[in-house]
Amino acid sequence: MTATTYADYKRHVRSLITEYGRLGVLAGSTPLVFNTTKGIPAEIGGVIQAADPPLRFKDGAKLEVLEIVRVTNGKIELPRYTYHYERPNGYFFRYEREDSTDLIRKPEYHVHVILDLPHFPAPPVNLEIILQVITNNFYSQEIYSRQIIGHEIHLTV
Amino acid sequence: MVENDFYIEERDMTLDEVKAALKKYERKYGMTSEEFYEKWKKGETEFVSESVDWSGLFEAYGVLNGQNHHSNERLKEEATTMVEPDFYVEEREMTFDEVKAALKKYERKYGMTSETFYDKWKRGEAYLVSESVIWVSLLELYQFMNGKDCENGKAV
Repeated sequence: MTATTYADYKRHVRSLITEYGRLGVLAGSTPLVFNTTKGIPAEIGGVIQAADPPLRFKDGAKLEVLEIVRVTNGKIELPRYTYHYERPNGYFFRYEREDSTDLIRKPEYHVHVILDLPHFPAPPVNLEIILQVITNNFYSQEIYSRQIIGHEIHLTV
Repeated sequence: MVENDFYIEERDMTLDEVKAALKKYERKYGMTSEEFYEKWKKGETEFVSESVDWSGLFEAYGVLNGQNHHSNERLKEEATTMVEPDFYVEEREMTFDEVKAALKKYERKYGMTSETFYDKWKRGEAYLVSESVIWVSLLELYQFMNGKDCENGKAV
């Protein structure tokens, strides 16, 4: 990711979403909301979200995005984020960075899969990585994606 | 010298390959090569990671196509037709009323006030609120817009 200012980062986000739209992975109107927020001067950061409504994929899946962004000295920080990908039938995963009081069961960087608990430890991610992960697994290489899409899961934990 | 199976093959890109490479960058960054080139000359393309490659390709396109790249109408026309008609990005700020409405939606969904949620979240007891990151961020946004200290989480 190349961005030396918050303005650059916002352009980067727009470019990413536009790229996936033109590839035909995202569809329809894509809302992007930018606001200044608490504790971050407007010129260096703010909140970026596409959550209500979320980003929509060509097959009806959705991606809810919220990032708190701060860019200082050319360094991009995302002190809090959520990327919630959900398929039409309810399968979901959600990568998050969130404050925690229980670092054992809720690491600061975590991912939820299918259920809200547990919080599995996860590497730091960003929108670019998330869109790649989603596209690589659900919208490309038909043979690979076919092994994932359409499978039913009936489970009790 | 030990022989191995590594070798370098050198050749010139064809016009079609250059065009395809330019289109890839145009899709990635949402602008025509002509628009990029104008920005690049003015030093306004820090956000384009591959600016050296893109500008070189654009100049190569001009040479291969026997055109001056400043009047590259054909490429511009082709780039314009790539835009998906049913896809567009809409940008805006959330208004104060929209933030309030979003908070109320979560309060109804989870049957608690934003203040109660915030207390639980601070104590690490909001595990079953799927949208906790969004809710707490909207709450901070609400309090910022309302000019309030948000330590107590009091909102709507």
